[in-house]
Amino acid sequence: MGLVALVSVSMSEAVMAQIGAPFIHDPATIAECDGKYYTWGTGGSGLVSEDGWVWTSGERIPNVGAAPDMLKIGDRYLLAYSTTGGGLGGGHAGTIVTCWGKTLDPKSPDYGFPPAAERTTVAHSLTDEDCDAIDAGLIMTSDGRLFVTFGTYFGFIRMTELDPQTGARLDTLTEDINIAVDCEATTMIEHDGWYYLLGTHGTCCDGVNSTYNIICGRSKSPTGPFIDNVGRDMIEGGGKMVLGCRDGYTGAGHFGRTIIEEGVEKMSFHWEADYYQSGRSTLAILPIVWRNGWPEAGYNVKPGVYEIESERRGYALEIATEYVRLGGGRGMFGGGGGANTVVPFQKLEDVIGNWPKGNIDVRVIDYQFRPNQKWELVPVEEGTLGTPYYKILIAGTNRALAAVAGKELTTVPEFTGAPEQLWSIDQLVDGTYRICPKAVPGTNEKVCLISIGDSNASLGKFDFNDVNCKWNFRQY
Amino acid sequence: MNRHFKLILAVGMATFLIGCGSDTGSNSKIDPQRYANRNVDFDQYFTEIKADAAPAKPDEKGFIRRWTIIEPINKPNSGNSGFSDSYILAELTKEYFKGQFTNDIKALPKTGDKVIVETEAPRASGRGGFGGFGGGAPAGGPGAGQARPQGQARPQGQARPQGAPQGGAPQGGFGGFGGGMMGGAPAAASAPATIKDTLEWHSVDSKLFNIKLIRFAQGTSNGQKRYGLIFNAFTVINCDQDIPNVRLAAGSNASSIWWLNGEKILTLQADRRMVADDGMSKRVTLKKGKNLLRGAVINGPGMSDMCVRFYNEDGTILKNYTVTNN
Repeated sequence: MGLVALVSVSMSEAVMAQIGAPFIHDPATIAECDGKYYTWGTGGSGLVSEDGWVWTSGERIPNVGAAPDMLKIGDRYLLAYSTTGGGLGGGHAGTIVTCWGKTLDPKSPDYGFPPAAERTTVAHSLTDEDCDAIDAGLIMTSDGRLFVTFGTYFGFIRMTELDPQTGARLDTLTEDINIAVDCEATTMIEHDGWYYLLGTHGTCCDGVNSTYNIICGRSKSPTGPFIDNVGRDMIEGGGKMVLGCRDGYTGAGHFGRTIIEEGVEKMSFHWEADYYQSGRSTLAILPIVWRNGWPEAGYNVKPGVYEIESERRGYALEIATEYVRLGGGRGMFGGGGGANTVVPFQKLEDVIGNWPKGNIDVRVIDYQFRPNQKWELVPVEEGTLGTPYYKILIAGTNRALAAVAGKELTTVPEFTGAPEQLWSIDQLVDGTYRICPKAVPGTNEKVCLISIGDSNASLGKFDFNDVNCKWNFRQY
Repeated sequence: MNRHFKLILAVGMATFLIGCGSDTGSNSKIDPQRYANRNVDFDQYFTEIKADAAPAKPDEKGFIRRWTIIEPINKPNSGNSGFSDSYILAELTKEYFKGQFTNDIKALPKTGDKVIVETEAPRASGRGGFGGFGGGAPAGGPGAGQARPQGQARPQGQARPQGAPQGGAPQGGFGGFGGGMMGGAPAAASAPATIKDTLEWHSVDSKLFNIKLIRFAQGTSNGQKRYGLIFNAFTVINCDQDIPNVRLAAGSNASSIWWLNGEKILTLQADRRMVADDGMSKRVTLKKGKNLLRGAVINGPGMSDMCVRFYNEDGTILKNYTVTNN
């Protein structure tokens, strides 16, 4: 029994990470090209995914050193990387290099990056100075400026500005700017009028003992100073934690951000060690949650049984079955004397016999932890960027939530694996969740589960600013 | 760095600052630490001061910049992962010379004093590494195409893994190149070779908020010492009255131990980077008159530095004291 339980836990945990062969170190920010997702790690090793959840080995980019980054600008892809890997016992000479590609699809006739000799050096460090020019990170700001950050534990993290047309260092610059100290794998993002510098602290490359962790500070200027949540400058070592480790996964590092649409953001990074995959370094993608102006790693919903609660009213999604009153209980004022007893919970077997055998509609109502309100989420082996598809079942049954023609909802008595029975669940930047069917019969429109009024649900277009589009998963 | 390049750098930085416009903010005072300075000479980091130098104040953020530091003691470690509590306590309290841990302020060494210590002989640093990537240098740029020399690893003692690890399922995970570089205690398996080393005390004022110990080591050893070292430093805190309930705040790369008037008040164990206010002591009292603050820092490979200040109980930074080297 104990072994069965252990295996069960392991499998459920393991399935919550990217599947396939997502082995990589220092992944570049996820890049999308013609419907596929790509990333590259140290040494240029590549990963590719059709859906963003299942990853396999991809094309290697030749002559790429440590920790590349990728940014789409216009219809081209700008690659930045360092030619060296970070020195320790001696020299810290390094160069940051950029080059362009027209496509990321190796099968395209336009695929290819220029040979090493034709790439552009944009920054460097000498053999001995307080910087080691590795780990390039790119940002295009909202006002069209292009910056690259770089550096590692040996002294300063630096930045310089690049020409967004050529990817070359701006001619007007003569020296780099110090923006942080003693971290690595930096990159910048922009949010709500702030520039955030993200870096990685902790010990790299030590397998399950690695303490890599992603930290950040923020500034109103793209050139800093970047200050953390306690007012500490990142040039003094400051930084607020974005993500360290989670049970079974240790050493988060090399942050990259992907904005899917307003309110839906993902962070890509690597785990130094994935306990469920021999302690290998693996690609990871998690939602970004913004809390009090700071980014945090969010959570994909773990397999389990939940209340699905509307953000609109706080009511719970249920199947529309006959309400069955419970006996017992003392009611108002606590009743008479005597010892307390446990009121029996309503069980599935108490009520399922009276449920309709065919499709049953759904509605939204007060949560009373009744069997028709408990939903079991089971991930399947396909998904979207950073999250698996789930089947959403009434717990203890095979009855599945399904989209139907006309952009409405039902539950079908048996899950069949049809696309209208698969749901992507993305945590939003405010911590709530969006629930979207993989497909809706009769339309290609992208829709999500919405509240209509307080007590009903339907499917509709997602709008992050509409509370009706948001849900929470509760366990008690 | 020659004078010609310094001039170019100065002109260049000025040009850049003008070009940056609002990016430099409203500060009229330009912080030299904000811009790349590729000169790592001793005088870029420290000013040597005389034994009878006038008292200094902590800087505007309360960091203590005046320290008397002895040239570092060799303690070759090719990684920092073994810096456990017990290891650093043993190594940072080991007496290498008489009076090393004296609490008698009148007996403190003065800048220029020398001692002879018997230490482990330095070992070749690093354990391998990848020797550069990719073959072929991009056009242009200083240092372009320089492969990382053999014998150099990443700051934490590891080179980065290239691509996907290979198959198999070793216990404890793959780590960078499959383990081995970080593991185990730093202590050598057999008795290390030793040397006699003459070490000199230096009283310095740091030009930065943090004390760049690696540059102190290089600058006082003609470039011979960089990694695998123990640093011992002290400063004297002068107070006009008792100041109770203050906390020492320190950051160090890597591990360190801190003593106030002979009492160990803070330990920063493990492989760590220097972070301001990384660790804080329990409440302590700075007594009226002279207080001896002593610190010891150990590092294997990579950057080594430290930063220290005091906080009041209410979270404000303590600055109403002076620091001297005696």
